[in-house]
Amino acid sequence: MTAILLVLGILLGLALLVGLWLVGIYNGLVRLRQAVKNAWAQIDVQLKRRHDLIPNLVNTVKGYAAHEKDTFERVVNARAKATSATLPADKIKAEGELTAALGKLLMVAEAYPELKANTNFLQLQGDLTSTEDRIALSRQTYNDAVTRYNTDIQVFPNVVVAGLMGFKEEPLFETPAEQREAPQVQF
Amino acid sequence: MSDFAPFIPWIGTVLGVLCILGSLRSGKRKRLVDDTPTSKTTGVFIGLVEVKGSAEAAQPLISFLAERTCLHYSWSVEEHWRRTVTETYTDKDGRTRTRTRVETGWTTVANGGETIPFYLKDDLGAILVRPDGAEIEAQQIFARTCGAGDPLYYAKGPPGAIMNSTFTRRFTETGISLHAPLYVMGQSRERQDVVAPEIAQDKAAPMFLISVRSEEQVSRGFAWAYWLWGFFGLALAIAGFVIRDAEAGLDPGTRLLGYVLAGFGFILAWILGWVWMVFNSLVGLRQRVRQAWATLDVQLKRRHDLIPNLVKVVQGLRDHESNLQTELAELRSQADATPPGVAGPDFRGLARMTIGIAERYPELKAQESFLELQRELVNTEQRIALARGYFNEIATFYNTRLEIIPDRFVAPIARLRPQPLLAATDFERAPVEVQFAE
Repeated sequence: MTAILLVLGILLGLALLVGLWLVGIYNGLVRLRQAVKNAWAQIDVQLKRRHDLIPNLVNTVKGYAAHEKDTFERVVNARAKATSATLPADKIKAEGELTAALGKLLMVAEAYPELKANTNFLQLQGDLTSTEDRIALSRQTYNDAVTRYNTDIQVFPNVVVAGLMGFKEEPLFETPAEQREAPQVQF
Repeated sequence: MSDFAPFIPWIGTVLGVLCILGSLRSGKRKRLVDDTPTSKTTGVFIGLVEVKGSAEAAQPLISFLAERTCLHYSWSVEEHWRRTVTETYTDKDGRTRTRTRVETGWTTVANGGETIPFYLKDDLGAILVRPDGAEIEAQQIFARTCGAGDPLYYAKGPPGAIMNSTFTRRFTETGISLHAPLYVMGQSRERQDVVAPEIAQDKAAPMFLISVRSEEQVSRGFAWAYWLWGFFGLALAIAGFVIRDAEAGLDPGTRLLGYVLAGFGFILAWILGWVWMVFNSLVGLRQRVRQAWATLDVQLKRRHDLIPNLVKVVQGLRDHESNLQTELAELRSQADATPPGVAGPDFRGLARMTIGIAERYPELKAQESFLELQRELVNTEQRIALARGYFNEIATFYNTRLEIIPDRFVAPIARLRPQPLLAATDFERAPVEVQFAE
């Protein structure tokens, strides 16, 4: 009698262990699938950042370029006014405007070379590149999460649990065919 | 027969199974090392990567014993002891006897070590590696045994002595020197500080190894471990039965058939385990081939989204600068048009200022932007080329596995198909004609 109870006890213990092990596999698969969803959301975070940031960066650069062009125009116009003024009073006033405009331009050119608009353009190029790099890294992280998950639902013995509990393969990041070609650089 | 005897074969079998698991683990790691292509540091993608290069750091450590510049060191001081043990025992005639025995050994009296993150540098660039949690196979950089008279004894070792000390100490140190060539296999992830990947510990990753050995040596090491664990397990499993029979007083020579059967049972289990390990390895390899294709897609999309915008920025700057040049030309002609000696504002003085401004806006400032665009075009195409190269290599490893014996017998179980490689189309093979004239 005790022998039967002992055997039953051992079998029950084994069944419990196997059950816990299967639950462990299931939980692992759930975590990996959640990681895939999270990684997809992280790509969206980077895309949203690009969507919100780049237009404003471009407008800032345009604004500064317009400001720089404006500063130059003031000098040219002030000079033309100084040349065409005939009355001494007008000439003095015009010369004052010209000196002020020139001074502003000189200050930008000499004291703050980094305020030149071409620096902003270079900075914009760097920001565009780093934004695309962040997006690329986040897509790679997504691909890795998908690869780990797809591998884990196909190895033995997880494949049994995955089949029973309805875990499906997730898709990797794919570029549409027309976007795989090299863009033409033309000036 | 002692009470333990019936359990001994079970213990032998369990130990044998554990040895099979150890052997399979080495087999899996050997396959990972063999079937993962080596990435260049600039081609590292987020995933399991294999990189080779030299170890560099801005502020390396100085090792404790050898005092060498390094990125990792681990040292220990062991002291030798000897004692004489007198014990009483009963011999086979029932008499009580005493005997003396000499026991010796080494005890670790001090140890330590340090590891810092470092850069792995190859011909294209460098990547940050965080070694915490990695298996580090370092070089031996210090090994000396000395007596108490040697200055090293107390200089680098603790004061005092252990019980029964013979006043002999052994100083050993292993480390990774600065500029040492390394082999690294580990999981890469995004860095928190800059927009770049780094290699760091990941609990779910199958391997994180930093070794001073070469890839071939590492792979061979795993092969040896695979076979040694396997045969050791075989020996343990059979030994379990032999010991049980010896305890029961049976002559092992008469039971050879039983042992051979046990041996066959073990080998069958080993083969089944091997099939399981190869199945999982091939499934994982197929997924990584797909991942390599997707990595290429990511780089192509990056090119598609980035390059046209960079071109537009350069165009914008070029247009802006040409506007400025127009204004500047206007300014210069105005300055030239004022004749000298005319009463009024001193245009000569102002002209100097104007020309000074013109000098600080030379025509070719837009060149920096063009250079930046050229650099980024080259960088983008190189990333794509590295991704294509990686895909072709891993697809080749995968296709090879599907053909070689004995892996080709396991492949059908997983329904694996060969993967076509990437090739240039015919027009892409032709030499490129550079044209500047329209």
